[in-house]
Amino acid sequence: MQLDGSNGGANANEALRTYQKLVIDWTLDALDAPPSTINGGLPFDNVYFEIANEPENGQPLTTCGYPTPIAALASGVTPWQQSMIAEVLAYESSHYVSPSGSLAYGHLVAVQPFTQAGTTPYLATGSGVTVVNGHYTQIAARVAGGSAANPALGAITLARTYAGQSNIIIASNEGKISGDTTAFPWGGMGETCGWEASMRNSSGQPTGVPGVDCFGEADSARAEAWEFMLDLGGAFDHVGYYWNSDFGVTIRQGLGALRTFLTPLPLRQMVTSPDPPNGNGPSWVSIGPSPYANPSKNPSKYWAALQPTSTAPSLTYVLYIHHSSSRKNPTGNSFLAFGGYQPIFNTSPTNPKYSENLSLCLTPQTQHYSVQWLDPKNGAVLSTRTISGMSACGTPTSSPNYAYDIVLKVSQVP
Amino acid sequence: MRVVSWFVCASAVMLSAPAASAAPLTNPLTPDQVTCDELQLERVAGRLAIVEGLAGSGAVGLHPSLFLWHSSDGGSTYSALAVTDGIMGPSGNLERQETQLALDLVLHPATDPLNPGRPLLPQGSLVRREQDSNLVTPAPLAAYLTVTMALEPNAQNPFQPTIPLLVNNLTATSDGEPPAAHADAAGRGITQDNLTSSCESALTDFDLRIFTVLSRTVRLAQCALLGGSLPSCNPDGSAYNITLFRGADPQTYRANVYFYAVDCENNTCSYGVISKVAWAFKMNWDASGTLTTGEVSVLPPCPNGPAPGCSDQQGDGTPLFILPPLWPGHSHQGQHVFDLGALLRYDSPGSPKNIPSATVNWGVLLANSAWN
Repeated sequence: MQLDGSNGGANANEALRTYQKLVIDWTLDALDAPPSTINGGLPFDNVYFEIANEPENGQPLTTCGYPTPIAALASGVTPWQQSMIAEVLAYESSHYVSPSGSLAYGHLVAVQPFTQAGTTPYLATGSGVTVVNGHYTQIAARVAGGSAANPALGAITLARTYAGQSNIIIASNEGKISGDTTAFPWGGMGETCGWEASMRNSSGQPTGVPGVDCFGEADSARAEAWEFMLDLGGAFDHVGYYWNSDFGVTIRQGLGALRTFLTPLPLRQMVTSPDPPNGNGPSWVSIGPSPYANPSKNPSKYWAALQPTSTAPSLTYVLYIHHSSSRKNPTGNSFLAFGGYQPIFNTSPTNPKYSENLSLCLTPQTQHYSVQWLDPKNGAVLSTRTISGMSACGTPTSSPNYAYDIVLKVSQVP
Repeated sequence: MRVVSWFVCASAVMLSAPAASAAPLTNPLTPDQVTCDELQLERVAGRLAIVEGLAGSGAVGLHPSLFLWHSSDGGSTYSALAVTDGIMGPSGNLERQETQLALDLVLHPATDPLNPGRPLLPQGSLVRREQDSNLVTPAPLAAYLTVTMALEPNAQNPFQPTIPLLVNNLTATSDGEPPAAHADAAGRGITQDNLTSSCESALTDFDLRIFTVLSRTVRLAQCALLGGSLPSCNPDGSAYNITLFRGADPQTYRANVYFYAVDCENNTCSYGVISKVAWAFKMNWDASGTLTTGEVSVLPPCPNGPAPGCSDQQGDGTPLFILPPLWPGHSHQGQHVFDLGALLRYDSPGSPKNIPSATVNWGVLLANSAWN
């Protein structure tokens, strides 16, 4: 929290920075050289560092009677961040990285920006940052201190913008937070928060507002995760308040299905399918523009897609579709500052009536294509068909009926 | 009817105007009068919000604009024009198509309720001008506009007023919202914010004509993909209120662009103006009152915090286009039309994204209209 009205910056809070750097040093000591009773005395190699969680704040609140701090904007946050990153790199390198220590490489370092201005300093090689973490699907500019010229970026919009860059990993490490309906009705929050659905039907599906699921459910988390990863995000970490809740269990199972789906994909040979503003969507499948590209034309059918690079030796295409609205307040009139997906079931989860009739235009090749529709909840194959690889352009494909989301996978087969 | 009346008024003035001087069409204002107008319109604008919805989907986060100006030289009547977020596309291939909702706002300092036992109360009326509006039958994905005004004292959130005026351009219920052609309500916010007093009595019909021309030619386009923009547009429903008023110089007009949004976390919503960018239009016209050329420039940042007559230190960077008027709901404009107009932008002091001034050929922009 900034109390001095300085917005951080190179000359702000210098005295405090000394102590902040000491905290970094102590943390590195604890993780890179733990006592023998912890992790066998070995360095933790399964962590990466983040400097820092949500440092940009366009609307800081007053607390404990202090005056309202001024906004923490990227212009002030970045110099502070860079000084902390430099400390991580310098201290770990000089103490624990070969030849000064046992680590072959230093741990990865992440930042967690909310705006374009907070992101771009770390896109270049040599910034010391390898991972850029995003939160939620999209972020309102006002809370982030952004503007039309300095757009706010949630995890989805961050990935759509930057995940194609080779020298940076885009990760999502906070989405719509889920609660626990087992122990705490509506996740411990008031129902009017829209935090969780108030009731379940006999199939265990939420039945809140008729026909519209509440957000924070497993469906919402799954949509975020699938869309983010098929935007070529590199890591996804859902946030839940209760690890062992029913939602927690369901969401982890869903993320497991996503990992199983992604693992065999030739991701290094794939790129995201174009979805330019006001455009027509990808050329290989007639899904049209997403709501991020043209909400006037398509307000609620979100998608993410991958297609082969121009030099890919094997050809695989993937499309994930979900039907959602962006999270709104309980009256439905205003958008939440930290965006998420509010699933729209067209009828009910047990009476699925969404379907797709798409046209494919795939790379001509001498073998065949396997066209599969899958259930993203569990990876189950819903239908399979093999088509010619020679005259695929214009080939129709129809999905089974589905309730909320579905996956199309097209891959080259003998 | 409105167009005809301008011509009648403009012609009447023209007949009495000295051939070599454009000044008689307008009057000079004092700086205090300008400031009074600016702040009064700002207070009204702070009570107004606009949402663009799509039939069948409700609000989807588009970025509409609402223009507001005095419709007479009295203080209590205003004109407003709501327009959809209608400019999209990449640089070099921009497109514009839009629909609009034209409104009259009348505010009374005191009206007499039916019950003589009740005190006189301030009252407001917001009325849709149907002849000048695109009325929307809610077919799937048809864009419609909803304008709300908060009349309560200390209005916190005009998107969700406690004493609302609400008008839309629907002809039938869409997404639970019934059609609303007019609205009346009594609210003490009208007098609390001094929305009915007159700052000056110097506005002319020519001024009103210019306000209308500006409302049809100035457009904000957050989602136009210009150089340096990102490939996605944040669908957060942030919107623009643009107040139009006269400057002190007889040929100067002003447009303040207020970029605002409401953000909610769980069930708590917070409304706020993100930025104000002040633009000045220097208009030139010939002896007959025909607009010829002009210049547009951003007013410099306020040195000591928000104040009249200047922009916020931090603008929002939204591209501001000046384009020929369009027949909303009927025609669209392509890049060749954008090439005729002007593009401006204000981000922050010294930003390379700034396009702080431009010249405008009003004669060209209005050549195919009946308004010049």
